[in-house]
Amino acid sequence: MRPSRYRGAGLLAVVVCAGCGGSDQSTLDPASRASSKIATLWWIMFAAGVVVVSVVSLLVLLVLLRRREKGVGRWMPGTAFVAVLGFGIPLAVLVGLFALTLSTIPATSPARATTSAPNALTVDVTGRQWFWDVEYPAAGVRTANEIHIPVGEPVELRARTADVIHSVWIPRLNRKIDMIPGRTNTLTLEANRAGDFRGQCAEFCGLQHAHMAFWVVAEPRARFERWLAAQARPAHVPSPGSETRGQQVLLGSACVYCHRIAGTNATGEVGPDLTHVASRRTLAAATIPNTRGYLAGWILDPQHVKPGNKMPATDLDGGQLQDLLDYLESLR
Amino acid sequence: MTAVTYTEASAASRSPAWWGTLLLIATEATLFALLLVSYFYERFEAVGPWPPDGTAEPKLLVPAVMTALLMASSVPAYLADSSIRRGEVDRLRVYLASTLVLGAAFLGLQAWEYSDELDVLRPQTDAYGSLFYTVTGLHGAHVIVGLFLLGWVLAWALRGRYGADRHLAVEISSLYWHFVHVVWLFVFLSLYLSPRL
Amino acid sequence: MTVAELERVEQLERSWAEAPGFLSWLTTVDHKRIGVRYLVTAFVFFLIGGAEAALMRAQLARPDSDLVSPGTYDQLFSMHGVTMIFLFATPMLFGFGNYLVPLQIGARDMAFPRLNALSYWVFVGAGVFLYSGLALGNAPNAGWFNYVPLSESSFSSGPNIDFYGLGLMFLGIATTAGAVNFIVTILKLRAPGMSIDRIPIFCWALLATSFSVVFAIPSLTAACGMLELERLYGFHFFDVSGGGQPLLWQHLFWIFGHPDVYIIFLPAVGIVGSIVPVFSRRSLVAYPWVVLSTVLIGMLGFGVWVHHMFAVGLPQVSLAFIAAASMTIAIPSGIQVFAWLATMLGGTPFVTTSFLYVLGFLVVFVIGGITGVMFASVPFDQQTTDSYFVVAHFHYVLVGGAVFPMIAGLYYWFPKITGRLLDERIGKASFWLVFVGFNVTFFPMHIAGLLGMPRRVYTYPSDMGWGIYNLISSLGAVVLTLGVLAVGVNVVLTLVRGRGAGSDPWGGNTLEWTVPSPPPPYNFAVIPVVTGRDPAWDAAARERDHSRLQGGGELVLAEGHETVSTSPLAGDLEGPIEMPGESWWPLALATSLALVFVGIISALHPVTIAGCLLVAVSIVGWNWPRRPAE
Ligand code: HEA
Ligand code: HEA
Ligand code: HEC
Ligand code: CUA
Ligand SMILES: [Cu+2]
Repeated sequence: MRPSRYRGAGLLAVVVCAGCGGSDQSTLDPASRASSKIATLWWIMFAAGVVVVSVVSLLVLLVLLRRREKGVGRWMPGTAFVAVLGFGIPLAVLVGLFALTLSTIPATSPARATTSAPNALTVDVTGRQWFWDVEYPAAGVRTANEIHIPVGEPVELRARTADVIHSVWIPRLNRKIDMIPGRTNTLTLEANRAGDFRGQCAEFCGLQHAHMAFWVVAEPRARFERWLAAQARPAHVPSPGSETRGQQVLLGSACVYCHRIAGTNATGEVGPDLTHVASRRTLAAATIPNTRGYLAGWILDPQHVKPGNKMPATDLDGGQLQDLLDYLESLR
Repeated sequence: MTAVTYTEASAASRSPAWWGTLLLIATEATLFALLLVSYFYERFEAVGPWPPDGTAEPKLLVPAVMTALLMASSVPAYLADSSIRRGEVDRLRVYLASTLVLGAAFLGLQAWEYSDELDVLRPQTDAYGSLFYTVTGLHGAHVIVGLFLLGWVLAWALRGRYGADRHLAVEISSLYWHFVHVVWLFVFLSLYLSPRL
Repeated sequence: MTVAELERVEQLERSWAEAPGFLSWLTTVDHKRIGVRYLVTAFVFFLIGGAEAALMRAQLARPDSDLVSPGTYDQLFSMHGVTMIFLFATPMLFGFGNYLVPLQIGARDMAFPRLNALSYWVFVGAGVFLYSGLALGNAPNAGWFNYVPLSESSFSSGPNIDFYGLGLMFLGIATTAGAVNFIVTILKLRAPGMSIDRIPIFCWALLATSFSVVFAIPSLTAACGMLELERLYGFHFFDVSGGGQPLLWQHLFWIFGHPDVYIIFLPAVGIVGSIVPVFSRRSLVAYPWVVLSTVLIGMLGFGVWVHHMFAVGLPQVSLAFIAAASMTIAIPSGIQVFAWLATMLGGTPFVTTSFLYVLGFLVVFVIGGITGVMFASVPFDQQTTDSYFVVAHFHYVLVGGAVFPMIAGLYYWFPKITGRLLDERIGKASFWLVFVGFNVTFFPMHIAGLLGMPRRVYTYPSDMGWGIYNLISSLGAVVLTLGVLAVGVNVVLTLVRGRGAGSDPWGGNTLEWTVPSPPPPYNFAVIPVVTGRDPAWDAAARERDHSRLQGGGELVLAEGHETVSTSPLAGDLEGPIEMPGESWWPLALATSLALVFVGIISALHPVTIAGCLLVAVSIVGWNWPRRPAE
């Protein structure tokens, strides 16, 4: 219901509308109460802004029209004109805007989850140069770059950073919140429909700030629980053959210093958790799709895909690579 | 012909140089205020005790004496200014010299205090140490500048440069010295006294 | 001319003439020469910053582009921001101030001419210092607000950020000295009779700006000082591991940063306020309101810095106060906008290029101001902060609110500065190129931002729907560049074969239009006595000035190198004051200061120490009495 209303309003601004719904990160295509409230706030301010800009532009045009006019008895705006248009009307508009602001703040405020639903699900998201660590503390789940939430339920997102300042921003679900060293900030996600919502880091955090995105998957409670249960299991045990050989390759290379695969000797903390890497739809913080080809390209030359990121290239011969890929693809 | 009248306010009115010094003092005072605000910000945002574990509160005796010295030094600085306005050159010299001696004594004590303090706290220890030395160090630098200024004025005073109608440098250096003194009071209150409250 | 007049003028020529040739180029203290220098240098930085922007727009024109590497892009936007804010906008407006303030208040120079020269040299030194980072491939790369901990040594080990931290401390000296100079000049050196209710709007704007500088720069200095102590000497202020607070940087930066945007905006407003009455042929409507608004904007600017930190997770309640404060600024701005409109509507407008830029400014600035007020509405800011919507806002207010007025000012005062009129046909064409190019470049950024495009990304994926808006932006930038080039071409052509302007081509209302173009070194042969708000329109008073020059010679002050001082409020005459002449010391002091900073950044302690000693020597030399002690 809501989306169409906004699309309708969008027609007002023909240009803007071209993009509505076209982007997975559009603030004007909200999928939550918080983002809807903000979008409403925007459209009201936009309308008021159009009025103010039109008034000023019309007066400017009038100046241009009057330039040849001369003589007495013409309109001579003075201090009263300035007082009404520059003080009186703006004051009234601003009082209204301030009231509107105050009424919108609670919808986006992080306090909501704890007050309305004390047992709300909690997700810990930690920003790192340049990907996202995601943990569900209650379920003991650790993953990366993909957050699953149940539709229609408030989820408390606790935002932290392991290095510099990042900012979690999922425009269609809520305002953004910064990740500040030494602090924990919270944000509530409450999707009012199922869907995939793209999020992206919004605070400049170094070389690959541009490629620090992630997906939020809002799904019905049952599916969410299946997902959570699957993620909670230790990694798939490789079947004999290429998968096992692939695991040997991985455990025998530098990968283990940086990556964790639950149930194996790989316990690194530097890179994303790979326990269920094959279950994810994208790689490298939503930079490339998670397909065999891209995965191979990533492992052989991550610096080409995402220049400056913290994973070094690994030298593997063709056989080793295929085995490794078989193993990684089995980590569902 | 228009009559152009000079207001005979010249004596009471302040020269451009005086205004310039005042503005310089205003911007410097803002700098100190911000540093002290930073100190309190870090202090109130910090978890755990302040000063942080393992660091004792600064001792009070020496800084109290330093405060007394600096407060006392403002008196001859004031008198220097008012005596030269009356043209009393000899007094000017005596007062300037006393300010200098008191200021130098302050610096000496500060150096002594530092050598003591550095055994337990270094600027690199933690945020507390960094702020402590940055604020007191910057103030110390201002004392040094003030002493140079006074020394300069004293040198010219000894050569008989100043008189009742020529004393801008005296006025300005005394103004600056009062500023250095007032800043210290805030530094003393914030860094030395307030952790004990 | 009577014999007495001729003699007096000749005497003035002699005592105010500076040594000819290259040497005087280094030693000059003439506010007009320094002002022009500021204008030219700042314009060069504008071209450099614009070239950086052009590269960014080329990179962003297509998705997934790899024209420049991420590391280069980071340096580009950081240097673009730093250049435009610190090396272009403020110095450009200070250039206008330098040239015009003494002329508008009837003085012969700034209150501290040598300090003025120092400001310029330090500005150049700091600019070269900052750009030597780029030349070495190590330019600042953490954005113009340089957040910690990204800018701390643990995440940025090269010298990149040190060029920023030290460079901005160095530059702060120039800006502060310039501001002190403006304040004292405007408070003490006004022509007799110019009481505070007769100060030209432009000078009021500079006064307000300068007070903001005096209280804002220390915050930047403190922040950069702490950062450098941390980076170079292992202190702890911001890093959590040493018990520091990363948000302290943000507070200190924005306590400076927000006032700084008004530091840029207010003088631009002053330019608009000077031009509007002249081309409307009518005194400014609601002058006291406009003055009050100007001062109020400067003051309110210190209370709203937290609106740049709405997303850091501060308590929502406290944000409401900041929101209210930020919105309040719309009122004085509205008063100014409608005061200009009232003046123009009630006058008989005379549409020159300069005036067109003022009209363009009105439309563009109001759009930028409105989006600013939208940010003041906390939840909207929390949604759009750090997106391209912000980039759109600040270019509307910076380019529309400051660059448009600067170009308007250029067209308006160029004849005064050079004696030649800029070509109006090229001028009007350039206006349309700039106006259209500007809007095509920056309007689509609002949409990209609403569609979720973050700022400071070196590239973006093709399936986000942002491509088309970025392409339009980049094409707009081409048009805008042509417009800027047209302004440059016009200046060059006019210098070569421009039409003579005479002393007052526009019928100006302020005192600079009562002296020849370009003005003589002493500005005024006789210090004017001001009797109203539009002194140049007051023919009788100017006639009286002239007869003083011919007759008794009061306020001609031809014997010395002098101007007069007056009382700060009433503008009552206090007496003549002696002005210093040419000097080497400003250049010497600036060079010594540069040495100190070079020594610090290269960790060459002997250089630092030598620099400090030379600083001391220069200060002593500067203050050494010019005449032996009596
Ligand atoms: C010249 C510079 C300039 C000017 C004048 C302004 C003017 C204003 N700015 Fe802007 N601003 C910047 C330069 C400037 N800004 C920059 C550089 C940044 C980004 C920094 C960075 O992140 O890199 C920024 C960012 C910025 C933010 C933070 C955005 C973010 O990062 O999340 C905010 C938030 O409140 C803000 C608010 C305002 C407001 C309320 C005004 C007001 O002063 C505007 C007032 C004017 C008007 C409103 C128009 C005239 C009035 C009328 C016609 C009357 C009728 C109007 C109404 C009833 C509303 N600005
Ligand atoms: C007064 C300030 C000012 C001005 C005038 C401009 C002018 C322009 N700016 Fe900039 N801008 C900022 C202040 C300013 N900007 C700031 C503060 C930032 C934030 C930085 C940060 O995030 O840290 C920013 C960021 C910024 C970005 C965002 C980068 C990002 O977030 O990734 C972009 C992107 O398009 C941009 C574009 C432009 C363009 C196209 C112009 C155009 O208007 C430029 C027009 C001028 C020219 C095109 C010059 C023409 C001449 C030539 C090209 C000839 C050159 C020849 C030689 C040098 C020999 N600017
Ligand atoms: C020095 C540390 C390091 C080493 C060694 C390393 N990686 Fe990585 N890896 C990372 C980091 C950091 C990332 C995240 C990069 C980013 O997105 O910015 C990453 C990302 C990945 C990803 C994408 C995960 C996702 O969900 O986005 C895969 C798959 C991967 N690494 C596999 C490997 C394999 C296989 C090896 C060994 C052959 C390996 N890595 C060696 C640090 C390392
Ligand atoms: Cu993380 Cu930007
Ligand atoms: Cu601001």
